[in-house]
Amino acid sequence: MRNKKIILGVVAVILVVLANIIYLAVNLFPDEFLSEGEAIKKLNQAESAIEVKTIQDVVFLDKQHVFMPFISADNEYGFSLWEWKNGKWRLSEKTVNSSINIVKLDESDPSTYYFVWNFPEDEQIKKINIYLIRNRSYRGSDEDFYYEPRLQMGASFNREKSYGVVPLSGGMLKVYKEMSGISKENGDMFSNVFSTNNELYFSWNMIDQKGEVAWIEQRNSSYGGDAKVMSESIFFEDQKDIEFLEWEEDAGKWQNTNKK
Amino acid sequence: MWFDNIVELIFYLVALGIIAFLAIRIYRKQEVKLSKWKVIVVIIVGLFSFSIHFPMFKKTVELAILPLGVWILYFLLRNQGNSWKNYRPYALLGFAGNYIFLAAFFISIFIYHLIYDENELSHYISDISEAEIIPVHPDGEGNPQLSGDFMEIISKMKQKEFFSVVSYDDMFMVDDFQKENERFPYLLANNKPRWGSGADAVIYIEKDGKGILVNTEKRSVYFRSNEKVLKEKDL
Repeated sequence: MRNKKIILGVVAVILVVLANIIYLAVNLFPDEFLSEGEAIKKLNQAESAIEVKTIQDVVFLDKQHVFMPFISADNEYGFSLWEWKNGKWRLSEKTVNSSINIVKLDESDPSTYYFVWNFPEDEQIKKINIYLIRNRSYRGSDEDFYYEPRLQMGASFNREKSYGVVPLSGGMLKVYKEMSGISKENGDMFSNVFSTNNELYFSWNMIDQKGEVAWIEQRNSSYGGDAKVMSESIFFEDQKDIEFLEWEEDAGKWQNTNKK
Repeated sequence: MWFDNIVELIFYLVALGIIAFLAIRIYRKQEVKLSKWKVIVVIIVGLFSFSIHFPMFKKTVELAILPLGVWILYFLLRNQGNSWKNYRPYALLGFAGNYIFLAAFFISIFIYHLIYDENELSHYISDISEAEIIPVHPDGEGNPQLSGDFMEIISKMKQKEFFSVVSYDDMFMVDDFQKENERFPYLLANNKPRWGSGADAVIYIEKDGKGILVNTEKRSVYFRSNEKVLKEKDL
C-alpha cells in the first residue's frame, strides 16, 4: 500500500516535470511563420473593416513575435502583430493608424521595446524623429527641495520605406533604464527601486523637405486578437524647432541637431 | 522590496527572533502541549491590527491600535472549552509583536544614521566602475567623461544651498517653448550607491562640470566643488 503511494507520487512528479518541459519547448521553438496566403486569410477572418490585400514584409522582433506591415484593399497602410503561443502563430493585433506605436514584448525589459509604423508613401517626407522627453519640474518646501532637469533626447531615421521597425537602443535605452530603476537588476537586494518614469514619455514627428513638421491624415482602426502583446501609440510632437540629441550609431556619439 | 536597506532587514530579523524566543518560552512553561503549527498561526493572526500610519523620519510608521486579530481569535475559540485560555498568550504575543517590530524599526533608523551619512556624496556614489556619462539634453555639449580623480574630488564636495547657485528664474520663468537651457544636462548612469544603503538615486552633473544633483526618491541633494569632475573624451 505504502509502496503504491510512493510510486504514484513519483509518477505524478515526473508527469508535471515533463509537461513543463514540453510546454517550454513548444513556446521556445516556434514553427516556421505562416505563408503569405495563410496570413492574409487569418488577417481577414479577424472582425474589422480592414481587408488586407498585400503583405509588405515579415519582420521578426524576436523568435516568438512578428511585425507584419500590410496594404489594404482601400489602399490603407497598416500593420499586424503576431505571437507564437501554445503551438500556434496567433494574430495579436491588426491596426491602421497614423501614429508611431510602441510595442513592449516584455514590459519590464526596455531592450525589448520596438517603435513600429506604417504610413502611406509620401515623397515629401524625408525624416522620422522619435523623442524621449521629460519636462522640468520643481517643488520645494521649508526643508527639502526636488528639482528634475528637463530631459530631451531623440533619434532620427531616414524614410526609405512606408513602414519601419526600430528598437529602443543606444543612449535613450540606457537613460530609460536608469530612470525606471530597471538597470539596478544586478544591484544589491536592498535596492530601493523607485520609478521616476511617470513623466517620461516618447513622442514622434515627421519632417518634410522644407524642414517643417509634416502632418498626415488621421486614420484609426484597430482590432485586438487573442495574444497579449499589443502596441500603444505615442504622442505627436508638433514643435518643429525642438532640439534634440541624436545618437549616431555608426559614429557612436551624440549629435545636437537643429541647433539655432 | 520590503526593506529600504540592510540595517532595516537585520533588525526585522532580530525582531522575528525575539518573538520566536518569547513564544518558545511560553510554550515550555505551559502544562498543556498544543500543536506547534496552530501556535504559529495564532501568533500570525494575533498580529492583525487596526493601525494608524503617520510619517516620521521621512518614512511611514505604523502604530497598532486595535488588536483585531486577538478579537477574532477570541470569538472563534471562546466556546471551544479551554482553547481560548491556552492560546490567549500567543494571540497577545502576536499583537505585542507589532510593537517589537516598531521598536526594531526605530533602532534600525538610529543605527543607519551611525553607519551612513546622507549628507555625504560618497553615500550615493560609491562605485563608478561601470558608470558612464550620458548627455540627456542638447545643452550638454560634446561627449565628456569622468575625470580620472573623480572619486577624490567628490569626497571633498560640499552640500550647497541650491538657490545660491541656481537662480529662481531658471526654475520658474521657463515656459514650455524655452527649452534651450538646462543646468544639468548630463546623467551619470550605472553608478552604485554604498553597499546596503539602499540609497539609489538618479544623478545629474551640471553643465560646468562642478555641480552634482542627487535625486533620491523623496528629495534632491545638491553638491558643489571647485574642480571639474568631467573631462573631454580623448579621441
